[in-house]
Amino acid sequence: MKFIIKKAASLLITLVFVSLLVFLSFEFIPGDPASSLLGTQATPEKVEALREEMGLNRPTLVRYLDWSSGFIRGDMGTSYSYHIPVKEMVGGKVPITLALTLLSFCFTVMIAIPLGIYMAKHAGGRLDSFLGVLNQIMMAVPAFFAGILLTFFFGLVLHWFTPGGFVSYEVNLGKFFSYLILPAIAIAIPKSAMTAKLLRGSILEQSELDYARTAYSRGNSTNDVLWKHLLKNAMIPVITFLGMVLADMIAGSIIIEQVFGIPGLGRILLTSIANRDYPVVQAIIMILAIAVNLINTIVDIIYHQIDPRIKYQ
Amino acid sequence: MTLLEIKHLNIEFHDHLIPETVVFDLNLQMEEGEIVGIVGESGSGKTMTALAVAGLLPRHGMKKTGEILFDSRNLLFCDRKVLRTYQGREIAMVFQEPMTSLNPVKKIGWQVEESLKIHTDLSEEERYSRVVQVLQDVELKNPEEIYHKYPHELSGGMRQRVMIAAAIVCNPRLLIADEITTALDVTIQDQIIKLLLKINKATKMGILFISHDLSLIRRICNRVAVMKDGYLVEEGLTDQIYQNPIQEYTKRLIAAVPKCEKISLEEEEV
Repeated sequence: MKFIIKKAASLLITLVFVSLLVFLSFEFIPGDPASSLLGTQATPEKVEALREEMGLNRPTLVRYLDWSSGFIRGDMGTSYSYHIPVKEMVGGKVPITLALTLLSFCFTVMIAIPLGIYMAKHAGGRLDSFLGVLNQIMMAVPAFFAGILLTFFFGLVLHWFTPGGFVSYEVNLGKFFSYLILPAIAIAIPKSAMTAKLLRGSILEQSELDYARTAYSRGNSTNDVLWKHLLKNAMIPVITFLGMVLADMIAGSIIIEQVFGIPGLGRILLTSIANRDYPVVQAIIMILAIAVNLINTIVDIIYHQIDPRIKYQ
Repeated sequence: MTLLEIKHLNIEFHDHLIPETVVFDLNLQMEEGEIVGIVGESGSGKTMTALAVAGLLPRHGMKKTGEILFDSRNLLFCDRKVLRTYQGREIAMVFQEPMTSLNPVKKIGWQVEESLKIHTDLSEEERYSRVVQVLQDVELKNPEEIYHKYPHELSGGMRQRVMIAAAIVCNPRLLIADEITTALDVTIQDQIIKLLLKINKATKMGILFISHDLSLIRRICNRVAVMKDGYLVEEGLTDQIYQNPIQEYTKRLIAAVPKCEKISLEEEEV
């Protein structure tokens, strides 16, 4: 319990630093939202007037406190380009990206863990060698390329789905998920290949250790040694890796959303960056940062539960 | 009654380009309740012999011939399913490294209990009381507390006691102790040896005691087998061998036992 409180506190501190970083980085990068909004009509007087109107002339610290306190209350500011609250623009997109990420993660776990165990159990066999090569290839395929191949094969050759089609989760939840399956697989392919390889190696490493021999000496079968003794130990590095994978998937889903034409966070993020719509960009980056940090904290807590040697200091 | 009979045991490794024989034509017999020692330096094949008896030799990359008779069954070539009914129930083993021989993520109680779960139909409560009993038997204080601890929370000596407890929990007829005191402090060594003797007296459990330390063997074993480079060079009653060694190698091994004298380098250079 103490451990969890400590982790939550460090999560909060991290998020404060992240928010500072997110805010300040837009102070320093070149380009002025006022002049980019005015475009070709920009005269120095008009730009100055607009800056004043947008509150950009106030001191940086005041604007940071204003922005961050607003963020905590759930007010993410107003989009420069569309003049609507950022919350409205972003809010509806979060579930889409979240669903895509979680679905990809579930696929990764569902593919990688049985595969890794199978490969470890049959290490050195013919199928293991074959899977090893296949794994190496899958690892080298970037998710967006796998996405293009999947779209081509299942969309254009087999006509199982309409490429570029999408149904909102508010309209039909089942259909919504069916459109996410292929993108999720595209994200999951390289990740599960890596995870399976790591798990295979981790199990084999554990099987060489003394305690595995002790387990055999008590009359355990090979399967019992694997399931009751090796797996929990072998999962420790895999869980750390899966935490990183999940964090990476949130960022990775932005690219895949483009390939499959899914209107998630990725799409607005890209258009907002192009338009210098800072409130939107800041909000999305903060949401992503919160998600990544939250995942890391959860992984740490799980890690703590599995490995008794990690003690709260 | 004969407990264990090793006949013409040969163990050969084929996992390198050149096959390597680690045990040559070994013959050894052990009576019920007897403590037999195997002594030899590293690489003499004593651990390989022990692993062969415990059925723990690697399954691939090796050739083995001969017989290991236990209950008039050749354990060297019997079905793995049959072998498993002996492992942990009739034949148990304690290893050299107490720090790494326990599973780091499982509680002590779970690990001591495991053989009972595999080999008996005892209920959960019966198993618990047996585990607490056996932890007490190996002279661990607060067994109920230790039951819920993890290996990293115990000292090396305590872990070796836990290993012994886990090995004897099913009352096996043969306990193989492979260098079990080597990694421990001298004072703890002494306690563990006395503990083994006590267990042997109380339960008539046969002990195959493997060590490189002849003085230790002399304190605990009735009979000893001396091994060198895979060969059994001499075998007999411990006191007899200690006083009248026949083989040159045994003489050197006895001479190598450290005496409580200051080492003087000049003497050796002569």
